[in-house]
Amino acid sequence: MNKFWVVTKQVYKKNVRSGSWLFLVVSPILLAAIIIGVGFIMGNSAENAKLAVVTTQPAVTRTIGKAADVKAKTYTKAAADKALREEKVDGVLTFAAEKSALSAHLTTRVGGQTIDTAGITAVLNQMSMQSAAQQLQLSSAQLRQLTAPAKLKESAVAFKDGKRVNKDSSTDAVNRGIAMGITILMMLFMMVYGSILAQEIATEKGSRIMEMLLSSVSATTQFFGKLAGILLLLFTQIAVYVVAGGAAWPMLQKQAIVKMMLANFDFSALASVNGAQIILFFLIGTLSYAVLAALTGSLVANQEQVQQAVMPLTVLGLLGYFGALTAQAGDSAIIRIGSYIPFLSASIMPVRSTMGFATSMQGWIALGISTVFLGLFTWFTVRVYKANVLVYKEGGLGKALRSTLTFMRAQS
Amino acid sequence: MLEVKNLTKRFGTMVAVDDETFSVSPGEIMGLIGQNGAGKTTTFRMILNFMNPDSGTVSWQGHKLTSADYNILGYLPEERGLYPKMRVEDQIMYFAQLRGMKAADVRSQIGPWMNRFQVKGKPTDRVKDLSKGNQQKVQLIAALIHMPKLVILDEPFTGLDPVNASILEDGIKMLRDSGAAIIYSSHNMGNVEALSDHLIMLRQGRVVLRGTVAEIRQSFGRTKLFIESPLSAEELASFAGVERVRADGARYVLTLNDPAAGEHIFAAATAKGYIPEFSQQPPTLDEIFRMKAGASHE
Repeated sequence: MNKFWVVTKQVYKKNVRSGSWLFLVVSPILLAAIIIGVGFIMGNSAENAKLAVVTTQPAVTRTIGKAADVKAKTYTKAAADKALREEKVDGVLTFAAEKSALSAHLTTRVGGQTIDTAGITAVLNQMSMQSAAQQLQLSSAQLRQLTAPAKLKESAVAFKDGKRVNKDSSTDAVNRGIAMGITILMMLFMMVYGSILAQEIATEKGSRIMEMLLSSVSATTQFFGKLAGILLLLFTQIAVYVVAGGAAWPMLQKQAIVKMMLANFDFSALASVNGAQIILFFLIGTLSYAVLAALTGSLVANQEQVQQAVMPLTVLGLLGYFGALTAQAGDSAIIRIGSYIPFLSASIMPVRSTMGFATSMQGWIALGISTVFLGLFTWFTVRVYKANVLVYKEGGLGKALRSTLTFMRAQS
Repeated sequence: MLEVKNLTKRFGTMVAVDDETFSVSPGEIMGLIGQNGAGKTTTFRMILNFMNPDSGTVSWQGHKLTSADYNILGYLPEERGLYPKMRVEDQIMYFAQLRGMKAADVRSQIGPWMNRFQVKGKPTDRVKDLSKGNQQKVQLIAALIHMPKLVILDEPFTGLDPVNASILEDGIKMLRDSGAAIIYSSHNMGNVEALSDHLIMLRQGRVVLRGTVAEIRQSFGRTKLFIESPLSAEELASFAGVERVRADGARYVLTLNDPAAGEHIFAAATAKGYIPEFSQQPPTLDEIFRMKAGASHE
């Protein structure tokens, strides 16, 4: 097997079996499952609420059963009371015919299933209105006219590439949500996978395994092998979510929050320039963090310094995260500048684009800067990585980096 | 053959290795001795291409050692480390595959190598569950299982008890018999005497001794004399060429500055017949090491 793949496979296998990675992957699924599961159980149990309807007209019971989330059945008054006492039903609905409006009384049993009162009220309103319309001899067209609700339509405007773009406010809210999601996901992925890589390399360096490795495989092959292993791990996590999401889709579709998001989600955005930029920023951003992680990881002198290696990642990740949060509130000079700085741009620029603060050209420029930076940074890191193996400098990563650079100059 | 010619390395004003020259042929074991900081590890690192010499060359079979030669290389660094949470077999598998071995070959070899080094533990055990000595043996297996042609061992005996040290000696001899060129460093002169076909000693980066153990010892002359005879300490000290007399139980240990004195002492001691002990020897490697290392402080 090619040595590149031996390294990649080792990094992948070692981490994919580790408890911390499994937890990282499974915990969001578990959390989602719990939230959805609770909603599902609550939804199911609400549907199962049994309602005794005391009426002589079975049609009324049928209408209530269809329109409200209850199992409605016609009862006599005495039978209904008995059923309630014996906990066979969760509530009893009785009618009192009054002169003008339809009036009903709902008795619910404490400890019984929750009865959809809003649904029942809606049915009763409808029935009441129909009977009033009959008494007033209104045609169905007149009734519709009378009951037509007033309309309030909202719209928000944004200016993109100098042109006015109309957006409706719900799409805007969804965009905001997506931008927020991207920010959090990016920070999570970049920091988590950066830390895994930094720890991986720092442990090898601190325990001197690195010397054995570098006498068997070139620093460059080892470096890119590790990077590939980490990326594979990241793709595996995404794949797990895609599969889990696909399997749970039939159930997810029924969830109110998902329905709301689907209704307002502008699917064309995915295929747009913005969508492509987000994916590229995600890739370039994750790779930049991984390379930085490799650099800081290779600077440590012993196992105790491993946490120090992760520090720069955390700081940069948090800066990007807060930048992105601030960008959602509005554009400012600092945010504009930050959105072009490598490491930060991956978090900030997608938010600015999504919010309509940046043109797609600006997005491409920021991407270009990040890509060129990534290339140069990787070239630099590969060179430092090899030299670092022999530099064991206690007392901080900065000192270690200076020693390495001195060593590299002496070597050349 | 590994050839090191006129190797020099400076770190700032400090000369770590100074005009070092030696060669190791296939089937040969070379010991590299010297005090801490004498330049042993720096020599290894230059051979391994971890750092470039300021001047001089390292060649293997006539060409510069490059990453293309990594598969014939076996290296054990001075400070030891393994992946603590990994299983023994996975660990060995990883290092062996990085040396170009096929997975199936590694799998069939792990058992025999663990037996050869008498590792107490199973291939499925995690490294951190093994004792320190056994971890060290696992690392040795990881460095040697691919039967390298050029073996570099930096202080391989450190931390091993005498039983395990002799197991390691056998392992190194086995590799030599398979045609490997072996170079190793050690502070334990007992191991060096028992194992090395030839050795060099470094002091402040410079080669101060070279040759086979016998050659080196002989070059110092037979200046040690162990004698048990009717002669008293005063009588022994009165001979010309005797530097020092030390009592050691029933016998005396003499340090001579002229080996020829031995003959006169022998004649005087045996004048009245039988004596139980007369042994005139060159200094031991350990004594030479101390002598040479001490010279640096003069």
